Amino acid sequence: MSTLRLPLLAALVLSGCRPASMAAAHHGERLFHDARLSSSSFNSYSCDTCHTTSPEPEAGRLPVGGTLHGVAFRDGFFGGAETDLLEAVNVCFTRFMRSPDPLSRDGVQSRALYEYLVRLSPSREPAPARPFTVVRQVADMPRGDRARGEEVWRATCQVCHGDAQTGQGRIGEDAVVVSETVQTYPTTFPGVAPALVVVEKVRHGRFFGIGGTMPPYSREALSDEDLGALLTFLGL
Amino acid sequence: MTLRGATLTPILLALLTLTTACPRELDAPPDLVFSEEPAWPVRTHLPPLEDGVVFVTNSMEDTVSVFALPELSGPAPREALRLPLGLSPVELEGPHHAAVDPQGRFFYVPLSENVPGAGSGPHGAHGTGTADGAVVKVDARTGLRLGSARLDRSPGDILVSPDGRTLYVSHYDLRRIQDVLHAGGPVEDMVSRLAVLDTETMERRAMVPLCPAAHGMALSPDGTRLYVSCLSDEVAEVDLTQGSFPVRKVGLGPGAGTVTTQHEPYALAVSPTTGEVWVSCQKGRDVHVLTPDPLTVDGSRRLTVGLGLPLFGELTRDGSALFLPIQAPDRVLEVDPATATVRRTINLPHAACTNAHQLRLLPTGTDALVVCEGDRVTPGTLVVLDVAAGTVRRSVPVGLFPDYVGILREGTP
Ligand code: HEC
Repeated sequence: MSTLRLPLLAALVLSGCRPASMAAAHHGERLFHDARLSSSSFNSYSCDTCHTTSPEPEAGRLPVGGTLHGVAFRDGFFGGAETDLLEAVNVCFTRFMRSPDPLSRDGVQSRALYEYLVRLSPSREPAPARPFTVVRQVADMPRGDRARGEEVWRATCQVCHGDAQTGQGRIGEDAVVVSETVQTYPTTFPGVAPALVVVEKVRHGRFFGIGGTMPPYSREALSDEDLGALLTFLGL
Repeated sequence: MTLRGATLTPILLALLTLTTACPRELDAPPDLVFSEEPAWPVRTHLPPLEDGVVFVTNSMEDTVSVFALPELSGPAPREALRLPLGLSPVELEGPHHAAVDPQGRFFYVPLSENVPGAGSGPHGAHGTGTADGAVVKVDARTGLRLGSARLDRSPGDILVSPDGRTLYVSHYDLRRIQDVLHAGGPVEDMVSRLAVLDTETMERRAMVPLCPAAHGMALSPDGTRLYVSCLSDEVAEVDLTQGSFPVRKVGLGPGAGTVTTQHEPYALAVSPTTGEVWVSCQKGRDVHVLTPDPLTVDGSRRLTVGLGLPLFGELTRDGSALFLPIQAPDRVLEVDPATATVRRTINLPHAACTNAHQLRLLPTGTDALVVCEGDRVTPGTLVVLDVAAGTVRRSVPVGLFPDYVGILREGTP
């Protein structure tokens, strides 16, 4: 055997393309962090774009979808508007992650993802749905502190939009450069305060006939105070 | 220690092979060890269908109130669960009426997209009936959505064929009438369509133009005719035996076929014995009787309600009585079908029922359920009525603006 072949073979055997076995939850964790979970070539989100996994708030993060700690044994999702975990996951999967097909109850990937969600729910205690208050009627609000606004931007908007002014670091082409888009509002929404259009987008996301793939922020995910601060940061 | 020359190249090569030849990280490794069985367990269960399940659609909160039927004859009926319903967990979609699979396996709920206060912003107001409606198919054991279909705007009433295979949905599109009136268009442009859907695939089989603002629907006892109330002072009769679904319309007065109306039919009931059609009218506050084959108005029988709106009633199985709920002042009339006169009035006390909407006789024949809308701000009620005694047995709070009560029972149409 030549010196070239031996290490090659050894490497293959040792690290192995086929590990002896792997806990499904471990594979589910990978899927959780991988945008390719959705087969849509337009998707750039993974589950972790919008969710954290720890029981406590994570420093510097205000995830739009909240934490998934304990999620597998909650009674309801989206504030109780969904009672089935898979259907709730599929809301995100088809509407935000643009998957043409929902995850099935018995698919290998989907089962692995489920096992990971169970691992995130160590107590196995049934828990009530976390509150999710949809702000239906959009209204203006008092402006807040600019520095807090910047913190909020970094903690929750930046993961998708990147830099507010330049869009640098944004997750994909379709996540608009927010300050640029806001400049178009006086022509697209004449007579409407641009801040109100931003509030509407943040509160309604892709719903209420708006379209796109941005998730809506419930009152619990983002308080009016923090949104007021964000508006100041955006110069609105 | 340094690696160089001959040893470095193969290692690099090996690494390269590893990254390219191995499956993408996303692909599931073949030897995954699963420990949760079943995955994604369905945790919602409706009460046992064998004993009967009663459900009420709450049109202003996107839920269904579910009761075990035996519970309703107990001293203090409790809602078994409140099932969220719809296609979007974020928007209010306005579940409006429902239809029950004859074998009790499914129920079907139209979403009207017509919900006052559903939301507003610079993109406009929501829930105003400008968005297309939809219908969802729901599993009667788990409440899971099994399918859905897009409809026209403002789906109105819904029915399933006796064999469970076909779904009929009318559309009560008042906005269309307003828009056409505003633009000065002809009455033909106001016509709403009947959606005919395959319950298995939830695909549309036909969209049949009916009349302006079609609403209440009922089948002839043999299931070959569909009767639909039309705001245009007409009743539409659809021949279900022909694939082209031919429609015949019967007028109730001089305004027939126009929107310059006197009666405005809204709800229908069919006698299981005579096949006569009882038509509740909103504007005329009257009830007309049509005899079948061919469908003809019987001018000799007409009930004038006086105060209040006649809504969705039901005839007894033997056809000997029509029980008709009247809204504001709320009461139930027992009507003699032979003469269309009131035999008895059962008053519904305000505390028990505000805005009676629909009455359904229970299989026992002695009791009936009445759905009361409430004031649309506080919960409506489901009333259990002792029909023989003419008294309210119980009044149970349900959700916001309930507008339909149905009974699911395994294997019994
Ligand atoms: C999960 C990714 C994601 C997050 C988080 C997110 N956005 Fe977006 N946002 C998008 C995408 C994608 C678009 C492009 C339009 C669409 O798809 O909805 C968008 C569009 C917008 C728009 C433009 C809407 C228009 O008029 O076209 C604004 C303004 C906006 N986002 C503000 C925010 C703010 C403020 C935050 C933080 C509070 C935020 N977004 C968080 C993904 C996101």
